[in-house]
Amino acid sequence: MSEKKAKNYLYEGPIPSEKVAQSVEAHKPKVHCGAHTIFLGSVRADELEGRTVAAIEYSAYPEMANKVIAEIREEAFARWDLACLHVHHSVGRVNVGEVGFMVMVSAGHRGPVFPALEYLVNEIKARVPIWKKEIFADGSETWVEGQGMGISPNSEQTAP
Amino acid sequence: MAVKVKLFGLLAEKAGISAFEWKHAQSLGELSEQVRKAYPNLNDAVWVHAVNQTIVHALDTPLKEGDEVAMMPPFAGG
Repeated sequence: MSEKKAKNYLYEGPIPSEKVAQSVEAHKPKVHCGAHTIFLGSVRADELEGRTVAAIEYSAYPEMANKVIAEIREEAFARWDLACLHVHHSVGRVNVGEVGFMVMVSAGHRGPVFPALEYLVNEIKARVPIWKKEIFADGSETWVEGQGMGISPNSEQTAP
Repeated sequence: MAVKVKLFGLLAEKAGISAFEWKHAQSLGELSEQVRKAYPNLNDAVWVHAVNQTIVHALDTPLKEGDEVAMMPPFAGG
């Protein structure tokens, strides 16, 4: 296993719109990249039994979350001809309308950037140890039932 | 032989604790059962294990001194 310094993909609080703009700006010098896709996950004002969601509180197992995100990135780089891949996921409180999850994919040409984006988003949802709690306008809270059990929706891989 | 146990999400809330050492189990399955008994609020809870940050399903997996075992509810990120 390589001893590269582990990258932190977790972001304290909501991901500001400026960060999206900065990411686009940062790609300007990458003049051989002609195609980019961006996914933004934002908090919806869902209604549950008469209560409206005001915010989501994200929590994570940080060391493992970063490890799994790094693995998923490597898988995408191996599978498609990509130039870069940026992932940011919020921890802590994100209010309705704010962004809690961002993926940006860049490549020379447009072919890979659509499937790679979908792969990243779906794999992250299934395999990354992150949890969320809905916080309602009346102050009450409830854990969101997760679906991710750590198994890739895209392959035959299973854990030992 | 001591392993570090970490609980996350709903599990930590139900158990009232998020991290502790555990010395009584030789395998993942044993640990899981013992923790469920020690924290009765976890009785109906569902979780997935990770050992040293890798998901492990096999309950007969032996534990080593210093292993970090995470008990994690189904993930809800992304």
